[in-house]
Amino acid sequence: MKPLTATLCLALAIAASFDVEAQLALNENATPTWDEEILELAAILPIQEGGRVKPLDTFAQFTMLKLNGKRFMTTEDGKKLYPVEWLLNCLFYPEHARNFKHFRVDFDEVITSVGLEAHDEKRSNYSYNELAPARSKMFQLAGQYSQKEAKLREPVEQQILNLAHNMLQFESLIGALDLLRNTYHVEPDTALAAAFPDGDHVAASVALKRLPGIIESLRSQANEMEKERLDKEVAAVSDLVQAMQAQAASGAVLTIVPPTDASRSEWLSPANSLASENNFGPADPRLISAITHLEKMAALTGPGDFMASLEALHGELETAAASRGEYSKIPVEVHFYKWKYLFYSQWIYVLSFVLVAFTWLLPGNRTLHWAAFTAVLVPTVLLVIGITLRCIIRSRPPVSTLYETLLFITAVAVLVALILEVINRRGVAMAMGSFLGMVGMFLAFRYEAKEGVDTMPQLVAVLDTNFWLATHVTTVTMGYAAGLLAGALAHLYIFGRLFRYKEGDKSLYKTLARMTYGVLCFGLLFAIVGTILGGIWANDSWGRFWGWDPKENGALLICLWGLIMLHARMGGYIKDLGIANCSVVMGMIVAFSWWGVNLLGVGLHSYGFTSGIMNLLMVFWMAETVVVAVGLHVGLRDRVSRRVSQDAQEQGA
Amino acid sequence: MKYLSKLFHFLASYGVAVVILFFLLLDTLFGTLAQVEMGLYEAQKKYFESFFLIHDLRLWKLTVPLPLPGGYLLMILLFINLLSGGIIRARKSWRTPGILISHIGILFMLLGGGVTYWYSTSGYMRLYEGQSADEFVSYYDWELAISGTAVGSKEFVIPDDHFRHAHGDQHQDFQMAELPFTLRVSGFLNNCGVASDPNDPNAVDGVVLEPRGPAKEAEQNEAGCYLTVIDKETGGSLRGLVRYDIFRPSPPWTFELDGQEWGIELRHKRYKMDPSFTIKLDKFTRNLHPGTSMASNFSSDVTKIEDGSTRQIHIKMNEPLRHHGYTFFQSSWGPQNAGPNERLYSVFSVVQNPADQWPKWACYIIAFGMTLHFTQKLIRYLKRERRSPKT
Repeated sequence: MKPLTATLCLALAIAASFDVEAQLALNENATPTWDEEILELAAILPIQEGGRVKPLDTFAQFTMLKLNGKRFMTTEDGKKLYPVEWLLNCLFYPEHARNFKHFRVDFDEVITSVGLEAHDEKRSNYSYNELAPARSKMFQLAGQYSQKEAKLREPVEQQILNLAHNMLQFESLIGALDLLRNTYHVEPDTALAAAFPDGDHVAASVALKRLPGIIESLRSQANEMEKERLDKEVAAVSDLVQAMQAQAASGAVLTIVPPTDASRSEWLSPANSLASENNFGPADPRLISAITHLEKMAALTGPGDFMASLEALHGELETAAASRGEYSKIPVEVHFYKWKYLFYSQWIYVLSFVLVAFTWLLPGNRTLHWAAFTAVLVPTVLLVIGITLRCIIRSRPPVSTLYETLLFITAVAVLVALILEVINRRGVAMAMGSFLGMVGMFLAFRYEAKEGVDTMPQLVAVLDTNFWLATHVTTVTMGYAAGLLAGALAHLYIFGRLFRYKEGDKSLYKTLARMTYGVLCFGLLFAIVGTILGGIWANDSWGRFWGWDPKENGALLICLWGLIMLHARMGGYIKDLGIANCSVVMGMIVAFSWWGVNLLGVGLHSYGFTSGIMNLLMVFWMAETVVVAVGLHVGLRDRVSRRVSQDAQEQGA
Repeated sequence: MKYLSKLFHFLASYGVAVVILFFLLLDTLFGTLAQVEMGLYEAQKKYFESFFLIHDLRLWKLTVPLPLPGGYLLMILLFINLLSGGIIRARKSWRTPGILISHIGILFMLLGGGVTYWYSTSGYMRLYEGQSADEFVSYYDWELAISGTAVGSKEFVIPDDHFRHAHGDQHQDFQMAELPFTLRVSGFLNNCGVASDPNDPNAVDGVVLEPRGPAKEAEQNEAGCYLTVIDKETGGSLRGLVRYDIFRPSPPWTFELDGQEWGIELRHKRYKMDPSFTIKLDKFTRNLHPGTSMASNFSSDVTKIEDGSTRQIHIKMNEPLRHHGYTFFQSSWGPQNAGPNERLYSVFSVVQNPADQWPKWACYIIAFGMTLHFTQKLIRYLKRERRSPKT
C-alpha cells in the first residue's frame, strides 16, 4: 500500500470510528425503541389496580391519559410513543422518561406560581426534568390546596394539585424497578459474605432467596455467639435489608404477581418482597421468580434476552392468574382497546354526517341515501360491539358508570333513530342519528380524557347488584336517550318551519311531529318505569321508596314534563309546534337530570359526582333556550300570517 | 247538582292536570336546587311536605319571592284529578285500556306514598358485635325520658310533639300521678350549642343554650331545652338543662327530691318492636376491593330472637331482613378508623311501612298499562306511515 493510500485509509478509518461514536452518542439520547412482539406481550401482562385485574395495556393507557391528556405523545426526537411503549420506557429507561414532555398543563399560572418559566404556548406539556427544580414548592402548594374543599378550589389550584399528584405517580413508575436495577453491598467477614461468595455486591433476587435462611440461622445461633460478633452480623443484615427496602418502596405500583396463597385477594408487587408483615420470612416464591425475570429485563442486555425473560414472566403470571380465575378477561380487554371500536365509531359518525349532508344536496338519490344509512349503521354496530365487550369484561350490564351512560344513551338514541328511518325513510331520523352519534361519542372521549381514570372501575357496595343495574339503570337511561332524541328531532321541526323549508310538504312536518311524539311516548314509558324501579331499588337498599334525592328528582322531572306534554296535547293546549317546543325543553331537562344534578354535590347518589362540565351545560341550556324562543316566534309568526290572510279573505269577500 | 257537576268536570279536566303537574315540576326543580344550601330534610319539609311555600327565586342579583302551592297539597289535588279525570271520566274503549290501567297504577302509587307518609316510622339500630336490641332509634325526633330510684326500672317518656312548641316565651307543663313533681319544659331548640352567659335570666349555672340554624344533615341536629322541676307538695323548684350531643353520650340532668335520685334525658325517640323480638349482631363483615379502601360489600350475621326461638340471618346491602312489618337494611358501620382487631359496630336502617311493597305492584300495573297503550299507538303509527307518501 502506498503511503498516501495508507494515510487516507487511516484517516477514513478514524473518521468512520468518530462516526460510530457519534452514532452511539446519538443513540444514547434517542428514545429507545421496542420490538413489536415485546410490546404485544407486555400489553397482556396482568396487573391488579383499582381493585381489579386488568391488562398492563389498560394500566398504561389510563396512566398516560391522566398525565398527558392523550393516549400518545411525541418525544423531542420526533418519535411517537403509545401507552405500552411509553410505560416500558418509564420503567426501564427512567433517565429518558424524565425528559418526556408528558405533563399537560392548561394554565401558565400553574408553572409561574411555582417559580418556573412557562412555555410560550398557553397550553403546553412539560417534562419531569423541567418541573423537578420546583418540586418542593409544588408539593407545598398542593398540600395547602388539598385542605380546601374541592368545589371551592380555583382551576389553577386544582391543576397544581393534579400536577403534584401526577409527578408522584410518575416518580413511582420510574422508581418501580429500582430494587432490581441496583445491587447491594455485602459486609465482608460476616455470615452474609459467606452466603454470597460471588462478590461484595449482591443482586436483589439472590438476596431475597437467601436472606430468610441467613436470618433464621442467625436467630438460632444468637445465644451461642459473642455479643460483638452478633451485633456485627445483625448490623450487616439490617443494613442490607434497609438498603433494599429503600429501593423497594416505589415498586408498590407494579402489583403484577398473583399470590400463591389463593385465599389472599391482594396481588403482590416488588415492594411486598421485603414486607415486615411476615417477619422477613421467605417471600412468595412467585414473587421471587417474577423479580428474577424483571431483574434480567432491567439489565437491558438486548432485545432477545429481554423478550426471553418477558416470555417467561408472562407465562408464569398468566398461569398463576388463570389458576385463580383472574386471567380470562385480559385478552378480551386488550382486544377491546386494540381494535378501537369506539374510536372508529366516533370518526365514522363524522363521515356519516358528511354523507347525510350530501343527501340534502342530492335529494332523491337512493344510492346515496342508503350509503348514508349504512354509514350511520356501521359505527352504531361498532358501538354496540364495544358496549357488549365491556359487559363481558366487567360481567356487568351495560351501564354502571357515568361514562357508560354516554355510550349507552348514544347507542340507544341512534338505534331508535335508525328504526324510525326504516319506518318512514325521509332521511331526517337518520340525520339526527348521525348527529347524536357524533356528539355522543365526542362527549364520551372528552369525558374519558378529562377524568383520566379507568372507565371500568370497581363499584361501590350499593351498586353491586346486576339485577338493579340491568333493570332500573338501563330503563331510565333509555328514557334519557329517547328524551334527547325527541329534543333533537324537534330542532328539525322548528328550524324547518322557521326557514319555511318545503313549506308545502305538509306530510313532512306531520311525519316529523309524529316521530317526535312517538319517541317521546317511548321515552316516557322507560322514564316512568325506570324511575319507579329506582324507587323500588332504593326501598330495598336504603329503606325508602322515595327520598327526594336530587338524582331521583331529576328523573321525576323528566316524567312530569313528559306527562305535562301528553296531557297538554290531549287537552288541545299544544299542537305539533307546541310538542316540538316542549321536546326541546325535554332535552334540557334530561341534561339537568343526567349531568346537572351531579354538579349539585348533594344526595345519596354520590358515586356519580363529577365536575368541570358546568360551562358546557350552561352553553347547552342557553342555546336551547334560544331554540325555544325561535319556536315561539314561529308560532307567533304563523298566527299573525293566518290572521292577515283571514282579514284579506274577509275584505275580498 | 249542576255546580257539583261543573266542579267535577273542572277537577277532572286536562287543564287542571297540566297545571298541577307543572307546579309539581316547579316544586321538584326548586326543591332540588334548594338542597345545596338547606340540606335534604329542610328542603323536603318546605317544598314537598307543605301546603304552600314561598320560594326565593334568584334572577341574577335580584331575589323575587314566588308563592307556590306545596307538594303535599299538589299530590292531594293530583289524586283527585287522577281519580275523577283519569279513571271515572276517562273514555273507556278498546283503544284506551292501557291509559286506564296505568292511571290506576299511578293512583295506587300515590296512595302508597300517602300511607308511607302518614303511617310509617323509621330509624336506625346500632349494634356492636355481640350486642342486641329490641328497639330502634329515630334519626330526627326527640323524647324526654324520666327515670328515678323511686320508680325502679320504669321510665316515663314524653315525645317531642308535646314540647316542640315550648320555645321563646312558651312553656309546657307535664304532670304524672306517679311523679312527685311537675316538669316544665321551656326554651326548646331543635339545634343548639351551649355558651357561658351568667347574665342571661335563663342561664343554668351560668350556662345557656345557644340557637343554631338547622343542620344540613338533619340527623346532625343537637336539640336542647330548659327544665324546671316543681315539687307538687312544697311548690319549690329546681332548674336544669339538657342537650343532645352527637359526638358524646349526653348525660341526663340529675337532681334529688325528697331523698330520691331522679334523672331526665333528652334523646332521639325510641321505638320498641311490636310484637317484641330482639336482633343480636353476631358478626359484621366488611369486604374491600383488593388493594383499595373501597368497600365491595358489607354485611351482618344476626340472630333474631323471638319467644325463645332463634334464627340466624344474613343481612347485606340490597338484601334486607323483613319481619313483622319491620325491614332492617344494612346501612353503615363503624368505627370508620377501626384497627384490624378492633370491635366493629353495624348500623341498620329500620323501617316500619305498611305500604312497603305497594310501589312494586304499582310499577307492574303502570308498566303493563303504558306498554299496552303505546304498543297500540305504535301499531296505529306504523299503519299510518305505510299509507303516507314518501319522497
